[in-house]
Amino acid sequence: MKTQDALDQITYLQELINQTRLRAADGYPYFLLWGLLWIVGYTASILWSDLVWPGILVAGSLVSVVIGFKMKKNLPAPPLLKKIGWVMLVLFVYMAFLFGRLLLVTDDPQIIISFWPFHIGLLYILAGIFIGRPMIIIGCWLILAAVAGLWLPSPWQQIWLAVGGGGSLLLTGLIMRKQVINDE
Amino acid sequence: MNDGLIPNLNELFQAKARLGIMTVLTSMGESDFLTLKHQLGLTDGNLSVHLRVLEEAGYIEIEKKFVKRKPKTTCRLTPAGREAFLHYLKQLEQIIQLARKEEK
Repeated sequence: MKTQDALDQITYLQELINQTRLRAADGYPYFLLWGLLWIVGYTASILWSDLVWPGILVAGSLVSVVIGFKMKKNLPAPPLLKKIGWVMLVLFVYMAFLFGRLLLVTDDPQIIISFWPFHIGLLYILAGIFIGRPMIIIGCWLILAAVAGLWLPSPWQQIWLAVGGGGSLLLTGLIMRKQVINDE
Repeated sequence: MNDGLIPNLNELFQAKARLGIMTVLTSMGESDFLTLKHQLGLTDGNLSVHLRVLEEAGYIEIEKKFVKRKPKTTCRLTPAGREAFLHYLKQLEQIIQLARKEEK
């Protein structure tokens, strides 16, 4: 084999790996969606009631499934991503169980409001171990935002989580989208 | 340049389509027929032929089953296939390193 043939083969397989590899940036639609839902959710919970959250969770999950199917058509998920997804789902259900237990032992609104941002941050960090550093950074930021929110009275805690939590997810989604467009 | 300097270079992987199949399977662990076809830009017939060659060499396993009454073909690397492909990649690197040494 000639050197040029070897170089051509390596270039070709690098192109293929780039097409099939798992990029955190490909998940930008989820960040845009959930960033927007956080902002809507916290704003609605200030203006109306915390009862908006179950509806937001159901709507977000349904749209996420639709996004997942669309992405699967373009780029099938590697087996590792599927396994991560299932682990995340199991952990999410466990967190919902913990949240139920929390409501039984405290009625402190600060703790209740910060529960989900904190635990979603943990999920992001766990996913980031496999997907990449950006997810870990966002996870750390969400945990920081959740903890900082504990010292803010209502409605400032919700406003902070809408801007600091939802806003950061939205901004991350926009940055990732730009990165994907540039790569294409 | 470098003709014949690396002995026993696996000829099975020198075809672009088979190189592509092995790369995708190494990267994703396993893949179905439609995904491979889409990612490699091959026709059904062409892909089938290359998959058969790799299967006969013991480098991949092909599983055919029906999912919701539709046939689904899943391909995955065998341990021997992974080892052979990684060895081939090392040989490619050696060719390039030799060329660089010659340039110096």
